[in-house]
Amino acid sequence: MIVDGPAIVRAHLAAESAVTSIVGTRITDRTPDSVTNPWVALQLIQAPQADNIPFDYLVPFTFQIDAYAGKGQSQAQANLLGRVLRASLNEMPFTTHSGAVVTQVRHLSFRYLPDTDLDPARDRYVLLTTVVAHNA
Amino acid sequence: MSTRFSRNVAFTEEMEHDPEFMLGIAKVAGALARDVRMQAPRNSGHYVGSIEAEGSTVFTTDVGAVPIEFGSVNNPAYAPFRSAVLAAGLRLEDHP
Repeated sequence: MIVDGPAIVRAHLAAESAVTSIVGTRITDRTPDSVTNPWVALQLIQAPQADNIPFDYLVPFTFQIDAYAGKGQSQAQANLLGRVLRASLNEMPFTTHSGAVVTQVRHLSFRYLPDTDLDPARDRYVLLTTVVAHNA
Repeated sequence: MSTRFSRNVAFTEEMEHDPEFMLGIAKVAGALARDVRMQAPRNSGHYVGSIEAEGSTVFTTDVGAVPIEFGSVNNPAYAPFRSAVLAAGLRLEDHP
């Protein structure tokens, strides 16, 4: 069985004080009950089998990670949160994880994309990141 | 004995003007469009029907495509375009 990529990333971010100082425990795969405070939305986009590996062991997990600003906050807060997330993810290959080894982290994009389903539109940075991992 | 390699800086442009190459790319784009439709959410109105391939481009004309691709507070990021590209084994470069 392959490693649980979303659980590893969520646990890693939840253990990073730079992240929790902004969002607390609001690292979620769905919209939180309250959208007043900033939050992180983590969603798995794809997890194919790695190229050139004859068995399903090494998996490149591609995530969309949304850095939402809090209500009434500026774009700067979302930008800061996005950059903090990016820096925290960069530490994953050098960090010990429960039951998993992260070999590589690669950011495919980092874009400013306000969420217009909220009124007024909420500032959001969208990070598209691939985390390559296997079982420990 | 030595060999000198000179990079052809116009390679991409030349390939884009090669009818045979573009025919092959159009087939890939058509297959990719089908994959995007398969990855699209079923309850998204006209979205699935709006996905088209034209030449080397796959696109949608649906005005609701951004929240479908990137999600919002009301729905997850279904990411049909990005999922299809990754599932096809193509290199994804996501440019804002």
